[in-house]
Amino acid sequence: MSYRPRMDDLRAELDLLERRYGSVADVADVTRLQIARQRHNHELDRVNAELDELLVRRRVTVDSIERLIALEREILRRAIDGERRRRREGWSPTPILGFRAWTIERGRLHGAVEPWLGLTMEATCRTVTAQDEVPHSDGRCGAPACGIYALKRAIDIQDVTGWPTEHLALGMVALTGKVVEHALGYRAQRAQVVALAVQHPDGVVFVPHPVDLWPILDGAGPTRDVFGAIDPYPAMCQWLEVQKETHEWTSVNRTA
Amino acid sequence: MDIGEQDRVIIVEPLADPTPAPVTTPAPAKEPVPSDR
Repeated sequence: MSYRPRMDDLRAELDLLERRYGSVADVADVTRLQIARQRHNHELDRVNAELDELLVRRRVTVDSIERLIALEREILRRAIDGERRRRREGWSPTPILGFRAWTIERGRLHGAVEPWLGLTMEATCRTVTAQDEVPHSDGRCGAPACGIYALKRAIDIQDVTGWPTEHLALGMVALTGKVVEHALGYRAQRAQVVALAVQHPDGVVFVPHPVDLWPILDGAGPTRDVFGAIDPYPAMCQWLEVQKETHEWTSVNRTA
Repeated sequence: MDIGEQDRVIIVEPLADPTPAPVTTPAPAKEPVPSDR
């Protein structure tokens, strides 16, 4: 659109003065200016037309970029979904329950490799520097691979060959984060103790709630009943399996 | 601990606990302190 300032009122006023007094000063310069102004108006019209064309081209280009981004995302999403299906990757909103053994030393649970500072543990890899994707599932850290180990069946932890017969604890852990499933167990990113059976000189102490574990770890002795058994391991494992059924039932009902 | 051959990866993302947060009682308002002026 041309820039056209209102000049008619001034021209009319000058005409009025010419009629009033018979003559007025020469305004030939104004005529030359008008011609120059018209030339600039034409240039302005041309620039505006180019701008309109550029705006159209910009809209078309932005639309093309957005279509390409959507296509890229679709291809990547299909590749991700396909890879997850091919690898049979699973997802769960509830923790996976597994079983493992510790010894109790100086008021702490000690795993086969290192002590647990509390009732939870976060896995680290001691072989490679990169701590992303722990526990590693691409074989980069060799054998034994990293992660917090747990077995699927409590009965499988009865093989405690080489472990001390005193201060032994068998427990159930809730596994979260990245969990690598194996034929007989799991390697997890995070684990939390949810039930524990502790061997005691007089028998076995069953601790269904982790908060009750601290008096035992602190050396204050069992605050719960001690159940004597000729062979404590089967009793401990059977009790842990029952705890698993109870936790799974509770989990299902909480999320229903 | 022998856990056998590696099978697959499972991502476990527990849902937030639906248990509502405990209700806290707000502290009683302080009595206005009379100004010295």
